[in-house]
Order: sequence, then structure tokens, then C-alpha cells
Amino acid sequence: MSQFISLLELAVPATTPLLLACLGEIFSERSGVLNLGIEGLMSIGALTAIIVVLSGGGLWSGVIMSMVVAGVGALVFAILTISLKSDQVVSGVMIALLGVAVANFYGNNWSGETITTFSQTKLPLIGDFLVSIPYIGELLFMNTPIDYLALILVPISWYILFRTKLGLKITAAGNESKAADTMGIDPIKIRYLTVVISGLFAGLAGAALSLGFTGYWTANLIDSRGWIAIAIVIVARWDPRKALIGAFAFGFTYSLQFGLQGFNYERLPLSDALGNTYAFLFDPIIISTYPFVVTIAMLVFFSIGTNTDLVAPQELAKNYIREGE
Amino acid sequence: MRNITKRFPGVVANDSIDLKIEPGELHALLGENGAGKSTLMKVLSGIHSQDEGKIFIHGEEVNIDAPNVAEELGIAMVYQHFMLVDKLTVLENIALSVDQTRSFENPTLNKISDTFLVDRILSNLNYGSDELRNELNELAGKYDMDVNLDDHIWELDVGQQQKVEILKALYKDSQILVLDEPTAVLTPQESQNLFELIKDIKKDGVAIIFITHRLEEVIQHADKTTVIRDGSVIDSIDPTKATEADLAEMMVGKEVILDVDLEAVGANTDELALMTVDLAAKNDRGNMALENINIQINKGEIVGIAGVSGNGQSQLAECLAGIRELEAGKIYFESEPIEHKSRLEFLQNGISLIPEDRNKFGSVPEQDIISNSILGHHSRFTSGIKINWEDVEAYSKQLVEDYDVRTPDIHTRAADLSGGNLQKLICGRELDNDPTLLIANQPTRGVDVGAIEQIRRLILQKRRENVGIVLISEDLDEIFQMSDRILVMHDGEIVYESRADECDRNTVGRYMAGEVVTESKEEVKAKA
Amino acid sequence: MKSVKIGDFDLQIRKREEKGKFINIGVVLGAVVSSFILVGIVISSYGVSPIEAFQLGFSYALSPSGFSGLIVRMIPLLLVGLAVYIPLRAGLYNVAGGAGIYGGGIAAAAIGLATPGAGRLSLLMALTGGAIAGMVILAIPGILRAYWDINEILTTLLLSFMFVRLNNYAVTVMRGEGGTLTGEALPPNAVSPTIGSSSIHIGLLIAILGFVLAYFLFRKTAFGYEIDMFGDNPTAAVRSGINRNKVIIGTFLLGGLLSGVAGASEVVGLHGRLLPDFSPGYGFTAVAIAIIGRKNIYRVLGATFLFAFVYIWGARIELLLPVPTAVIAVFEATVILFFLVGEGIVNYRVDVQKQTSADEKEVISV
Repeated sequence: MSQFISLLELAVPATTPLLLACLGEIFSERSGVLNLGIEGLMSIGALTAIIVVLSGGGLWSGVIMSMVVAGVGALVFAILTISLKSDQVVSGVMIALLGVAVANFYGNNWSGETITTFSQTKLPLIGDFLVSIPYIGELLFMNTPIDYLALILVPISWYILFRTKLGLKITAAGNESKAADTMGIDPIKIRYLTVVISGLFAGLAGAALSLGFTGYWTANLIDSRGWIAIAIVIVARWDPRKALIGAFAFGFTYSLQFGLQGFNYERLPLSDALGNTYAFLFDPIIISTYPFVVTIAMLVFFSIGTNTDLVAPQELAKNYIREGE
Repeated sequence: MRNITKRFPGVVANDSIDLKIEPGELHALLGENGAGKSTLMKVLSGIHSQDEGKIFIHGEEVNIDAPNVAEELGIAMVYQHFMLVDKLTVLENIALSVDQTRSFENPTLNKISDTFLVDRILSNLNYGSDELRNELNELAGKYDMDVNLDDHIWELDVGQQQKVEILKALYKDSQILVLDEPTAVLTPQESQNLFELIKDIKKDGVAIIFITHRLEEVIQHADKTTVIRDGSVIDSIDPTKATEADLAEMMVGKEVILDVDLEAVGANTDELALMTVDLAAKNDRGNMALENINIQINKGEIVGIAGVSGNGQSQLAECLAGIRELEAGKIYFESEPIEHKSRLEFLQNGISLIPEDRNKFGSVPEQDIISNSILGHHSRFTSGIKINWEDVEAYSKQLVEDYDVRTPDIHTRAADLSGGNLQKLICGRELDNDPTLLIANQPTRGVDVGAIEQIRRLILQKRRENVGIVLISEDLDEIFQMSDRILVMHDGEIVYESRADECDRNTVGRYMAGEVVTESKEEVKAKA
Repeated sequence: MKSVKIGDFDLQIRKREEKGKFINIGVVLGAVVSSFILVGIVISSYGVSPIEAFQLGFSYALSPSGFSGLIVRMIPLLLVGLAVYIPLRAGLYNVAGGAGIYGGGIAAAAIGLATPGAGRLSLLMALTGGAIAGMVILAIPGILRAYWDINEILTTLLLSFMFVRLNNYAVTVMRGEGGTLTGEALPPNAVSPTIGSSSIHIGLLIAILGFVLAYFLFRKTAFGYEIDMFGDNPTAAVRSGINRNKVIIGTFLLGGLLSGVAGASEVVGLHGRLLPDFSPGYGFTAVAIAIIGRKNIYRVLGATFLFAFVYIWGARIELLLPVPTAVIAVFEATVILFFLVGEGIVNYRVDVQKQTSADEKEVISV
């Protein structure tokens, strides 16, 4: 049991970057923009954070700069697709490629050096009490500040999207852009806003990864997490609360790679008969494919039967062209 | 509004129009489809700017160049296609369209909130839903409107959605309420409710402009009516002093629209082209769109289906063409059941379709005329897996010539053709294939007059060639001029059927509106 | 019409009505040149003279050894580029280059190792096996999209990430003697012959075949017509009797075939064994190739040449000068970026209006 708990604990730092990126992407997609560049934005964000800290800055400065840089990257994407009306899919993939390439390129000089990451801290005041709860105490309440931040951002995002006028405007822009325009809501401005938000979140996610989890930069640090985040948006049906579940499911399977190291599968029942199968299933490399298998499975499971069309933003990936433009 | 003129490329939509409205007046704008009523109202609500003329509100000249300007002046427009966001609730939709600014007691904070940015942020936060909710409920109660603020728009039927729009306009303290064909989508009972609601609203001094082409409504409810035909005002009169016949004449004029040779009404042959038995189908939303459809079409006969758009016609056309699956019932083509076959098989059997949206459904706009001319019929030009493009090019050249499609050459994109020419191309394509059954869904909608005539002639020619034809049209003139038999669709069912020479426009119109006409034919004729 | 105000100037973005004929070629050329310049600047920040870098790279690429390396590189790029190009014409995005390549490579290696006594037949079987493996793998996102409308960008992408890892696993299973880091070498009968002393292998033939296949598909066949119509207006296409599932699954199967055989040819032709990560970003580069290729197969060929060239150039530079390898990837991505910007300029123009007096406006169009 305690081994299971420690698996869960490992899952938390894997979940956080994913969750953050996912939340940002939800904002963007709800307004109708499919931002596929998240992987690239996370990359440059993560690298920026490391550079800032290695150059003597504080951890939080790293976080902020990371958000700024990723935000600017998202702005480029926004200009390309919202104003220049380039195809969203193509532009997004391109930004992703560019971001990863640029980060790998400049990161060369910075890779390998470690920093002290965010430490796991307790919450103020009630922290001591919460941590002492058996089993889940440490799991839930002994985490880095960014983990807590990500957790808080879930209800905040939900509130913004579903309970404020801004959220209504976003939904309107993403579902009925023309109607929204005649109502005085400018889908273009809304989309710029949400795309930049998705960039800020992506930067935050990147910083969470490099400053909260690994503590160093290496080539391809993001390791396709940005893409997974985008898949999770669909699984989450564009709802921040469900994003938490999806992100955690992925985080958990991802951490299996590390958590199950040295796991002796011969202790499992039927190991005589199924020895070879177990050897295959528990091979570290094979385990590393499980997060993707799970994500695909989640995608399929949540798409069959339900009509995704009814839940997805109707204007997703369609550029908004005003009459007369 | 004085001397309003509005031009679009190729047409003068409004020609020196004068319009005068008093507070608390229900003013009907009467005219046929395309007469210019909607355009005029779009000028009033700021969507279009007039090319000439002035607008005065309460005697003061105003310049309405954007929708929000009109809004500030108290003008609210309720469109035929509601401007509501389906996924949000009633409350959320109304909140969205209202700009709220908070005022603080502290003057400094007030000053800060006066700054554009802060103001915006605050008004973007919690939209004061309790306050809004109470006010809206009060308002709805005052006019006896049965509206649940927490329903999502997609859950509501059309009549209720319309109420939401009106509620929205009322909440904004509108002084002028413009309704564009409001009863087009309502049942008779709902229409009655609407007019009672309007009566109440009028008492508060709100002026209501009502666009319609229904004579009975005008006579029964309007205080004043302005009749518009072909962009100009014919007259502005008090409808209580006029008869339906007077109004009809003003609306339509005495011109004969089409000099088509009047052939005998009735099918040319006795052979059955297509028959449906108890057909039922759903629409894309998953709701029932068609029920109990029993139709027969003979070869050499034009069956005209009249009805207001949205009562299942598109779905019917799709079912007959094999595009939409049936929920129940059968389709027999020349006595063979075919309802389970694919669209391709329908086509191969000789069932052609002219769709109601030539850009979305009938052509691939980005591709050239050559590719579009064989859409759906390309198997005629294949041998094995190859396509013989030379033959295709020759064919499209011939098609373009035969059907008078005006284009520089056949390599132009379909998107660059004018509406009428594209429609002619599509008609040519569908008619040229020797179909046994032709389904034409709004074939002359949005097409210039010259092309309209050509297309109608083509259809009549096919009738002479003993093709079975289903003609779906909103244009009652067209239906009456071309059909051998007339069917009326309402709410997904066939509510009326008659030979074309045994019924009249009035009855058909009433069935279209959902009425059940109980008087006998003689009584109806006597009334008219 | 909403516009952006900057000081006295009013900016509006409007669709361009007339487009010059040469503007399309101009865009591509402009993109390439601009990215060369940009990369040059980046290189100089490493203290390396860009002129020197370009000279070295160009001369190498045009030398016999460099040129044959170019051809070798073009083989998989062209095949995978076409594997993306075909679904793209149907409006579908195939980002699974990796999945097909690795799947094909694994199959080819397995077949090669399993048939030492079959003579040259095993080479043929390996290639065929690779093609089939690719088809099976890419059928998955095709089916998911066709029947349940599941976003194929994500499924293909996730599959390719999976297969990178599966390939590494396969390498460990097929490990050579003495515990090397690569798969066991294939018996000589399963390995492709090469031209002269270069490493140009049978893949060249296959790439040419693939090109001809794609050309033939879209220029001459009915299926190609259906794909095109579906890609530009799926609603109208389906209503005209074109079978949606046939188009979606068919294009993905073709994509799978091409990428599978690409992977197989890399294994039997270039490496002679299964290697970990033997497809360095081919899947993504292929996307770039298909995007630049638009609807013209010759452009695809040109883009393939361009990216292969960039790779050879970059590899050479990285060898001789202190510039990180990632410069290649940066170059690639920059080309696409400028290309997209260029396209944006082609389609839309910026009108700048200056308020000279209350009523009059001067309009300059860019």
C-alpha cells in the first residue's frame, strides 16, 4: 500500500506541468483557437526559467520570465492565425517545432547544470496538521509551491470561464463568433487574450518542469508533454475540473516508469505461466509507452458514444473572418 | 427615416424610402421576399449604413453607423436567426449583451473605475447575477412571459427563444423594437401569444416595427403598415381600412412574373417515379424533423412543396436523395425499396438533387468548373481506376455552353462564379444526367432574375421529358406557377395536398402558417 | 470594420483581391532566403562567420560525397513527405511519420533476421513487410477518425511517440552480439546493394516509385479526384456520393504504406540493422514538406530537396564549426515560419489610412 502511495506521490510533479499547460489550452480552445504550439512554448519557457536561475536570479523570477517569453511566443502564433488568417493547425505545429528547436539550440550551453528546485513545503498554519493525515497527508499537502499554484488555478480557471462575464464572452466567441460580434463582443480581441493566456500557462508549465521537477535543462526536456496536454483538453471536455483528473491519470502512468523500477514482477500471481508476458509488460521501455496508450485510450473512450461535437467549441480551429475583410 | 437609399453591387435594395413611426405604434413593414424590408431595418439598426438619406429619432437627426450606436439610441432588433449563444443559459445570454458598470461610493475608486481598463475588468467579473436575475424575473412577470432563466438556449424551442430575444430588448429599455418575420417560426397559438405580448409592450410607449409578408396579421394587428415592393415604398396606410386584396395588390403588383406556357395541370404519365411510405427522420440535432411522410411522385409531374423554411423541407430533400437516413418508413423508387442504399446508389439510379445551398452543399468552391461539373457523376468518366480528364474537360465545356454559364473559361474556380451562374452550372450538372427523379430545393433562391427564368424553364423542360420532379420552394409564386400538385409542409408533416388548379394561395398560405382550414373551398373563395 | 489605431494612422487588414502570378514562387523563395539570413545571424552569434559556414556547407553538399548523402537523405524524407501529403489533400493531418517509419523498420529488421537462407527474396519480403506494417499502424488513426471523428492530429502524434519507444525496445530485443547498442546486423542477403561506393541504396527506386504513385493518384485516378473534392468541401463531397470512410481510411493506408516502406528501406538500405532513434524528426520534417508542398507534388519534391540540403549542410557545419546540431531544426522551423508569414502577406494586405484632415483620408496599401 505504501508503495502505491509513493507511486501517487511521484505522479504529482508529473501532473503539474501537464495540468498547467492543459488549463491554458482550455482557455484558448474555448474561444475557438486551437493552439498546437504548446510543446514549443513550454520548451522555451522551461529553458528561460533555467537560464534566469543559473544566471543568479531567484526561482520566482525564473517563473515570471518563463511566462513572459512563452507569452510572446503565443503572441506570434496569435498574429499568424488571428490577423494573418493562417491555418491554425499548421501554424501551431510550426510554433511547436520552432520552439523546441530554438530551445534545444540555445539550451546547449545551459544543459546539465543543476539548480536547487522548489522545495516541498507545507501549507502555512494548518500545514502540520494536514501533513499528519495518514496515507494521503504527505501526498496532498507536502508539495512544491507550483504544485499548489496549479491546484488553485483549477477552481480559478473554472470560475473565470463559467461564472464571469469574461468567460461568457469567451464561450460566445468560441461558439457563435458572428452572433457575438453583433452583440458587441469582439472575437478577435477575445482570441488574442486567450491565446496569450495559453502562452502564459505554457510558460508556467515549462517552469514547473525545469524548476520544480528536474532542476536542469536538457534537450527535449518537455518530451511531448505539451502534446499530451492538448489531448487531455478533449478528454476533459474543455472543463478545468476534468482536466485535473485527466492530467493526473497521465501523470500517474508516466511516473510508473520510475516508480516501478526494480519491481519484481515474479511476485505477482501466475508468474510461472505468464512470465514472459510480465517481462514484456514490465519492461521499462514498454512502461514508458503506457502514458501514450492511456491517453489514446482516454481519447477513444471519451469520444465514442458521446457526441464530442455537442461539447466542443463550435468555432474551434476556424478562423474568424469578418464580413468585408 | 427619410429618403433612405441603399445600394449593393448589382441592385438597389432601398430606393428613397420614407418611413414614419409613432411611439406605441405597431407598424408593419409588408412586402415580398427580397423587397428590401430587411435591408431597411439593417440600416436602422446600424448593420448597414445608408448611401443617402437621414434618420431622425424624436425629431433629432442621428447617425447610426454601428450596431452599438443603434443600441444606445434604444433601437433593438430581433432577427429571424436569433443572435443567441446556444451553449449558454438565458440569463447568461442576456448578461452577455448588457454592459454593466459598477459605481463605487468612494469617489476616488469611482475615478479609477472610470478609466476604461478598470471599468472593463470589473464588468467582466461576476455579472451581478442575483441583481440581474431579479430584475429579469420582474420584467418577465410584468409581461406575463414564461421564461426560465436557467435553461440553455439549445433546450428551448423557437417560440421561447424568441421570447428571450424580446426580453433582452426590453431589459435594455428599448424604445423601438424591430421584429423580423417573427411569426415565420411560430405556431398559430404562439403567434397569438406574441401579439398579446406586443399589445402590452405598446402600452409602455414602445414602438414596434414588424416585418412580414403575411396579410392577415397586418390587417388584424397592425396600427399602420408600409408596403414595400422592389425597394420602393408603395404606400403607407391604416390597414384596418384596407382589404387583403388591396394589400396583396400593393405587395405584388399586377405584373406577370413569368410567361411560361401554361400547360395542362396534371402529371404527364401514370408511372410512379418515387413513393414514400410513413417516412420519418431526425435532424442533425437528434430531434424528429419528419413524421408520417407519405408522398407520391409520378414521372412527368412537378410536385411543389410549399412551406416556411425550417419545417423539415431540407431533411425531406435529403431523405429523398439518399443523403439522410430514415428513422422509419420506406422509399420506393420505381416500385423498388431503396431506403437502405447509399447516396451513390441513389445517384446511379437517376435521382438528382439541386441543393438549397450551392456553396456548402452543391459545389466545391475552391475547385474549378471542370471538377465541379462532374461532382457526383464522375463515374461516368472512369475506366478502371483512371479518370479520363480530356473527356471531362470536353463535357464541362459543353455543359457551360448548353446551360449558359457565364464564365471566362472552365478553369475558373466555382467560387468566382456569380450565384446565378453557379446555380446554372449545378442545375446543368444534375439535369444533364438523364435523371428519373429530380429534387430541387430552393433552386432560384438568391439568383438574379434572368437566371431564375432560365432555371425555371429548364425544370419545366424536364417535366416534358417525363422526369419526376419535387420542387421545394419558399416562393409561393414559383410553386403555383410550376406545380401540378401542391403539398404543404408544417412542423415536419404534410398538412395539405391538392391539385394546383384546385387550391388558392390564401389557403396554402394559411396551412403554411400552421392553421387548419376548416372552411370549404367555396367559403374560402367567397371570402377572398 | 474594426481597425487598429496607432497615433494618426489607422490600420486595417483586408483580403487581397488580385494576386500576382509570381507571388507564390516569390513567397517560397523569400521564405528560404529570409531563413538563410536569419540562421546566418544566429550562427554569427557563435563567433562563426556565416559566409564561411555557408561556403563550407554548400561546397560539401555539391561534392560527390555530399551529394550522395543528399540523395540518401532525400529518400526517407520524400516518402514520408508524401505520406503526409496524401492525407493532407483530403484535409487530414498525418503527424505519424514516426509511427510508420519505426513500425516499418521493426518489421523489416525482424523479417531480415528471420530469413537468412532466403536469398534476395528476404530483401523483398522485408520491404513489403515494412509497407504492410505501416499500413496496419496508420489504419488505426484512420479508423478512429472515420468512425468516431477522433482528432487524427492527436492520435497520430501519440502513436509516433509510442513507436519511438517501441523501436528502442525492439532494438534491445534484437541486440547484436557482445551487447552492442544497436540491433543485430542483418544477413547480407537482406541488405540492399548500393550504387558504386556511395551509400545510395534501393530506397531510391522506392522513392521514385512512391513519387510516381502519388503523381498518378492525383492526376489520373478517380480516387484522387474524390480525395481532392473531399479535402476542399467534405460536406458537398459526401452529398455527391463520395464515401467519407473510403477517403479517410484510404489516405491513411497510403500514408502508412509510404512511411512503412520508408522505415524499411532505411533499415535494409542505409543502416543494415535496427538502430534506436533512426528517424530523427523525419515525421515532423515531413509535415513541413507537405505544408510547403501545398497541392503541388513538384513543390513537395522541391521542399524535400531543400530540407535534405539543410540537413547535409547543417551536419557538415556542426562537424567543422562550433555550432550546435540543433541549428538544423531551427533552420527548418524558421523556413516554415517565414513561409506562413509570406502566405499571410499574399492573402491579406494591410491598409494604412492616415487622417490628414477631418474628412479626408490618405490610403496606402501594403
